[in-house]
Amino acid sequence: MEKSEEVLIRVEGVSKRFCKSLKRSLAYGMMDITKSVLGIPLSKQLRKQEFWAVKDVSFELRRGECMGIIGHNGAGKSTLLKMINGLIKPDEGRIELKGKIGALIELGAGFSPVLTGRENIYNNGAVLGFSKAEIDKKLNEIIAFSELEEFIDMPVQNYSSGMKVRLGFAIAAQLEPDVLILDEVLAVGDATFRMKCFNRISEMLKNTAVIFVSHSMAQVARICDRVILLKKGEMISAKSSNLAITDYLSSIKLSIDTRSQESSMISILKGYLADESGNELRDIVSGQTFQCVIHFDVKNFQELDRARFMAVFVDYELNSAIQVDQDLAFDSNGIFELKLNFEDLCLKSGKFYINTVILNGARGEFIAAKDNLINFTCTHKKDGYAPVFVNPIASWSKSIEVGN
Amino acid sequence: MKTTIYTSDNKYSLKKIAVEIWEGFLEGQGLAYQLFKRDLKASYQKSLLGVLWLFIPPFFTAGIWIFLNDQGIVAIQDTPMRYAAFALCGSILWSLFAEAMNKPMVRFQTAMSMLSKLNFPREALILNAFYEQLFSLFLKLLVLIPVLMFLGYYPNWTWVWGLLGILGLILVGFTFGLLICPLGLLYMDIGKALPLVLPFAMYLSPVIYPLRSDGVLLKLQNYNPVTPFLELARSSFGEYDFVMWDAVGIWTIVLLFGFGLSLVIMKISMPVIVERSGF
Repeated sequence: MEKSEEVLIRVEGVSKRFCKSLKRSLAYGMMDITKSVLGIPLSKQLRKQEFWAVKDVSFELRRGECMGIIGHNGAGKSTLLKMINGLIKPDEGRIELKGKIGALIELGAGFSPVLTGRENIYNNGAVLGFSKAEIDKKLNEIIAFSELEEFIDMPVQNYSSGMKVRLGFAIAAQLEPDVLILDEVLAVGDATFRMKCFNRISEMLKNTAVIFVSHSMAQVARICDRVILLKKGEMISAKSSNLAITDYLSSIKLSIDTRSQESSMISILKGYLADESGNELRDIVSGQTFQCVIHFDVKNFQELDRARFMAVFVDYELNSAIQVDQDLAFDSNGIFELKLNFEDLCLKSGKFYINTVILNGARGEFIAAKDNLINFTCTHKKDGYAPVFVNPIASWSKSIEVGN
Repeated sequence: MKTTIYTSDNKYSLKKIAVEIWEGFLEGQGLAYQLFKRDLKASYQKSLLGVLWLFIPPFFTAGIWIFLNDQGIVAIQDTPMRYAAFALCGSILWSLFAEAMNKPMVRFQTAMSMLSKLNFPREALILNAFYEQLFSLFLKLLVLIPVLMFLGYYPNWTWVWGLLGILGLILVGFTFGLLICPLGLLYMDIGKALPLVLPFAMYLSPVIYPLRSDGVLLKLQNYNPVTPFLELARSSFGEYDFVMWDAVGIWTIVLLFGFGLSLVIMKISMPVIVERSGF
């Protein structure tokens, strides 16, 4: 990505206060309007029931750079974006933007449901700031991008929600801004279309300064050079995307409803991670050798027939990353300990949960389970978003055939 | 390259704001026209009577009064033109004012979700309301002129004054409509009160009865910005003497100033309103 020294976004000590009570918020609103019209300065203190939704955020962004903003719900991401987009005013600080500003926040704004897709291209285009002549010129490209040729003369109310969003994105994709604001817009449409959107955004990245808000760490890791993490409106960290994402992920407290089912034959007692010498581990470093120790209580070993134990490593987005399948055969009742030894297992950074089940019988009947038996945090030095990294044995040789 | 700055500062330079508003109107033209076309096309897609709905209400009002007058139930005498024409003119002109007063707030309310997510020139919505108002005027003239001709009032050059009077009515409506906008967008009360207050205000104004020369209504009439413009328009259609030139002059100056002020207030209050819009 080409970078230049040209600073396009400069945010200096920006804060925004919100009020917890609507009635009060409206009254403060009236007061602020009256004061502003009369030219009376506003106080910068918190008034009753107010809190800082965004507090003292500063950063700079140059052309060609992409910055991610991550944080939990209510951390102030959207509020910050709204201020940068000029929709609401900061209560403290200053925002300076250079050039044309484009925001992909709501796709398909201005659509009228009873009008056709074609007519609505002009409506949405006008809201985004295109002139009629510009849209005339881009019309075919927009329709082609949306892949809705067949339905373009049908009222939009007959479109599926995915189709509406495709049309909306196709129009917004025609923007050529200097500053681009993206808020969760890549979470649209089916997989093929998402890929197409992603590619279009990557193209736009080259010549713009981009602010990208997303809950998908995979996307953030993929397109952002750096990331700021917001927590309760404050900027916790501003660093390379990998480090900020790790910060964010380790702050996630998922309280998974632990499903637990016992059987009269066998139950899963407990589990933990341990290092090579058997000491219990809370966290691991990606690639480190570790053991996964699980205790079973076998109560009726004769009834177990072709029993299998399964453990699934689930990441913070609840995607299954790894599955372990282990046959179980016991010759007596009692407590048994299973040790699974992992060498060279390179997980991505973040929190993982291990869900376990025991299946029995020819048809694999589900007899016992314990979700979230073990949870741990993995840290990784490399950027990446796939659940598992592998280090295949690589070999090089010089090819004799040239080309082809 | 254009530099945009947003600060917490609420000291505005009037000149800068005036320039921004002007630029907003210029940049917003295309959007205003597009939204106008959209709403026009869309509003009659799902209606059997379609555009007819624009004509029905004023005819109803006028019809009721003509009927009541014919039956002698209300004795409205000494109207300077035939009562049917007088009442029809009055109610159509009043409806132009009332629509203009309602329009800005309704326009902003319906666009609130867009306003809170996208940054486009807010003035486009005011311009859009104006386009809608002109269209409504056009449709109403389409009814009014043939009816007046049927009743014996033929178009002539003095009708140009009538159009000026109508523009004055729209100016009154927009100015008051925009001034109540910030309050009306934050609180629902204004929206609830308007449909109650406006008809009441109509009966207090000389719309379906001629100008008063004494009593409480005379006093009210002197402070009513609608009356001079309405009378200017009606007298030129009905070819009777217009006696309120002074009021027209004073109100025009006051309203032009007020309109400018209302634009500035809108500009300043929009971020505060968007913040609390709930979208």
